[in-house]
Amino acid sequence: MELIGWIINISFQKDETHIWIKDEHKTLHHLAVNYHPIMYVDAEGMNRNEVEELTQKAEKHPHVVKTRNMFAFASSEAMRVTPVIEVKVKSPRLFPTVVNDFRQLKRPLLNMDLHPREKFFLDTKSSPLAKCRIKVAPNGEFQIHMLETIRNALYSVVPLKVMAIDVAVKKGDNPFPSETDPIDSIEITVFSSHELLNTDFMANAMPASYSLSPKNLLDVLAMVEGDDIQSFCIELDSNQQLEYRSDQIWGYITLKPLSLTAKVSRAYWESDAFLFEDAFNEPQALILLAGLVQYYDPDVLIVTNGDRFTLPYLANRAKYWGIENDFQLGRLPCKLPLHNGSQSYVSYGQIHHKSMPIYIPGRIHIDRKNSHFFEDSGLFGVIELSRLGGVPPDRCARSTIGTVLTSIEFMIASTSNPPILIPQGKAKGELFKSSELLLVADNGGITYPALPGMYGKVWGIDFASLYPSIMLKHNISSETVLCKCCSDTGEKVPEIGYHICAKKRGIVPQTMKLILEKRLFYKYLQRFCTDPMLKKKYYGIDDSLKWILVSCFGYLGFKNARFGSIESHQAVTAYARHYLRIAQQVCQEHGFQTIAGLTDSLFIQARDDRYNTLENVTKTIKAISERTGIAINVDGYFKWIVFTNIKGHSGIAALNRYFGAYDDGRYKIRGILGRQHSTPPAVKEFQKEILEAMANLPDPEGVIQAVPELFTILEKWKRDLKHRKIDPKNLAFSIRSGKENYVSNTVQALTAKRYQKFGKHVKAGEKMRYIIVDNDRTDIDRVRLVDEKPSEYDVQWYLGYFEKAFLELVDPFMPKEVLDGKLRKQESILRWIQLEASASKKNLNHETAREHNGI
Amino acid sequence: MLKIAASIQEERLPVNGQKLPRFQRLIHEWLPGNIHLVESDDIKQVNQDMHCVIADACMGNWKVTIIDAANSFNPYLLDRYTENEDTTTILKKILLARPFQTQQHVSLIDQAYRQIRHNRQLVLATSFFQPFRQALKENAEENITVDLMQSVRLLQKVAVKGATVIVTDKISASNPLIPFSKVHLQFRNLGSNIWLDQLLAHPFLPPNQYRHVEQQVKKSLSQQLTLHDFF
Repeated sequence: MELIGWIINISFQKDETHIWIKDEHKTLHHLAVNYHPIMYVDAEGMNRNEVEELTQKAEKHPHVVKTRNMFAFASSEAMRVTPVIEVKVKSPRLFPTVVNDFRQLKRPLLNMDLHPREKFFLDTKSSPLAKCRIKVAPNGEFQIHMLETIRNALYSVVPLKVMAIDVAVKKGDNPFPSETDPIDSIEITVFSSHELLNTDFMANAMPASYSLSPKNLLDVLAMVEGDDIQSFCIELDSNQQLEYRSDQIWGYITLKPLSLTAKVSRAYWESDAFLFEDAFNEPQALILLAGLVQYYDPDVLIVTNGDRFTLPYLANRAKYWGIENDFQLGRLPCKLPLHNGSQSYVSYGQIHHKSMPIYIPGRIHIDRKNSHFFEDSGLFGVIELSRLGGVPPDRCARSTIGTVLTSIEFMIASTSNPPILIPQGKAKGELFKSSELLLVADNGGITYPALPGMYGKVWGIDFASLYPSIMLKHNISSETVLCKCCSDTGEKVPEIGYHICAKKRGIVPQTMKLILEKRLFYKYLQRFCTDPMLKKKYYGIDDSLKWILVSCFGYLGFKNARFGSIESHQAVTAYARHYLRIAQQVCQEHGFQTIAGLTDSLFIQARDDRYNTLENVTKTIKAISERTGIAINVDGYFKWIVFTNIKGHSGIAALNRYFGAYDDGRYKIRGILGRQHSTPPAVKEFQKEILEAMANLPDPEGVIQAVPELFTILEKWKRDLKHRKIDPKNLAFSIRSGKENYVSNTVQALTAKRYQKFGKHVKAGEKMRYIIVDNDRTDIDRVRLVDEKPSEYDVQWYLGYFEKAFLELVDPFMPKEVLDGKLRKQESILRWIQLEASASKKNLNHETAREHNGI
Repeated sequence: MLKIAASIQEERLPVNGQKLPRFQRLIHEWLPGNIHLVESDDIKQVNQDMHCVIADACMGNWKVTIIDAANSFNPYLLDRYTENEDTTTILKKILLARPFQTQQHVSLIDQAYRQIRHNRQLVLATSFFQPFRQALKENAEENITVDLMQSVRLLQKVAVKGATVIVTDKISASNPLIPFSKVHLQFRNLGSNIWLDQLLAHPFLPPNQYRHVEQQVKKSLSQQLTLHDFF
């Protein structure tokens, strides 16, 4: 049997490997094959007889299917190929047993600690959702031959059938749903094409707000898919009496498990009413849901909060009604877990929390609340990374950026010739170095902090993908920095003097090349593509690749990175410092002075107006690009820009907190309240309003003069607060719990305790949303949770908070007399602004009066 | 083997009792060929205090190797303890590496073992069990037990080779290093600098020599503050 198509997903059950593949005619095929996972035994230092002896010994193992002697690099750091024994194991299930047995050989084992489903694609040199030819013999042995390369940017994927499920729970007194609460409604949205999903679905973040009526939906689908219409949107409501009209039958759904037949009426399309023969109840809803999933057989199943709550909840409800065996959502029988675990982890100094994944055999289950890539880049972002890394799409959607990056690196290593094999774990730690060297090497990116205040006529320039470009240009990877072969001849890293291998190309630079080139291409496509749907698709792919580039540098120094090391991490920052200094020097040569600099960007100001021309800036960035070999862009021309100070020190700049207005009326903010995730939406809106007003002002003087006017915006919001016109939901803070057990009485601690009051134990990294209702209290009544839907809030406290948000924007450029001495206090500043505001009103009145009087 | 090492009469690392009260007043010298386990509930403070020991060793022309699992080494803090010595010269004498996971930990101790050439050598391992705790927390490592046993065994070998080994860690119920440590100091309530209420298995100091010690640690203003710092 031979098929050409796209592998949707794979699953292991017992000793069989199940592959779901969709052919060019959109027909799904389910293949059960015998996949033999491969591991390698390193035979370095052994003579031919010893290798032969070891091979024979390996072959005698009862679970080993086949062995082969070959040559490969035993790690990315290996200088030359070594003899290795390829060992094919009977099935993925037996793989761990064989690995354990082979450990007794006391030889290094390679390619043995990878994720089993990723290993499938690595071993078969294939990728999910990439076009391939699969040949299956009658005995289950198979071969996959890729018909396209993952480097291909203009690829097409067979349309995927997508079903989104949202379950609402009928909650009791407790604001949080529990597994004992009955189902309120199940909303199912089915799309026949993932293009539709990627455009409309992602544009409306919540499916509930999806405004297409069924008729419109038909029109849209007709436009996209021609006559091939299979999609509709239904809502099941347990309170609703559903009826069946036999004259308008659109389709039959046979719910096999209970032999219950439900009929979906064509009338639904016209009337928004879904018709059903009997009175609707919860077990029927569950059976109908399972039946619909089986009948429409979606490739992608998007379940909101599926990992954390929805799927275990549905499993619990099914168990409650005794239909757990019939409640099947997969393409193979599998039971959903009744409880799902979760874990907290630290990333970039922040504690995050994620639920353990629930994989549904044969389908791509995506939990929108547990998928960074899907939320950010859409389905096409997930597909692109899945193809690049050989990661099953459902795993890819949940993976961290680092995991995907590592998978791409594995792919590149395995496809090199001879292949580079992967030793167990990550053994390469930091090398011992003198602490004097460490002091220099550990410096990180360079920062030129600005003197706090407001600056006019500032150019922002920044390097394009500086760190990935450095890795690519200078061949920086764990195996190339401080290599064993080029200590004399290799390129020396500035400042720290590490040498870089001149003989081989590292895995990390190869990965960077692939991603940078692809991203450049997609950027080009986005710019010149006129089809909005394709534009969105390319945007999603570009966005997913961007995330890889954003984190590739950090991951280079991560403790578990397979192709990273501290030294390579340090080499990148050393080059970045070197280049930023060059950039600064070139700017000086072209008549600019540096106002501030941060890692890969500079804010420069012309020394006088002669230099302040676009031509001069263009010349400058061209010179920088020539001197450094890395592209640098003009971020924009700021009419004015404000660098804020750190708390309590008016002379020290906060490095990452600034805001400014471009000459085209747009503005840029970094680090201020309006940009922080935790800030309440109303405060963000308030700062946005002020910034929009400020962005229209032409220069720093104009901004300073406009402060009293800006103050009126604050007063308007304060009035709204006093009159309780602001929805409490918009005053909610959204923070991550820093730990699990609080002992103090901080707001965070009290919020966590309030969650606990309702039986919800907040784990480290989990999000908490709260509103301050009485800031004077020291118990859990100081706050209310958003889930409690409170109607109250502490007006006085929020008034102060809005003033703080206001001062954050105006304080850095307040006149000196206000900043000096006792006037520095918040109340004094606000009083000063108030006085100025009333004075300007008086002046205005006076001027108006003069006009009236014809003076 | 430990006993053999301990019996070797080597030059001992002298201490300057005037500079830093805590360890230095309790211990008059650190013993070559021995593991010294310093446990505390305020491990951050202990690791800071260790900078004084490092400074003493460097000024006494000892070679210092730090396996800094706590990532606590602070050259600016060291500067405070080096008196009139040139800090750059001192820093050159210190070899340092940071393990961030258990396999790296084992590998670094092994490297430290290979680097020991003479006896005037201090090996300081800060927050020794931190990578193992982290691995257990993340449930990411399969071979934690193997790595842990190997770490302890290698550390013994380092001591046997003649180095003065100091290990810091936070107090745990059954520290696997206790059986291997010649000197075991355990500090509680160190953060509040009140009393050092436990001094276990110390061969030289009887309990009546406990003393109340205090230390003022100022924050280092070493970070660059303004643009002018650069030009």
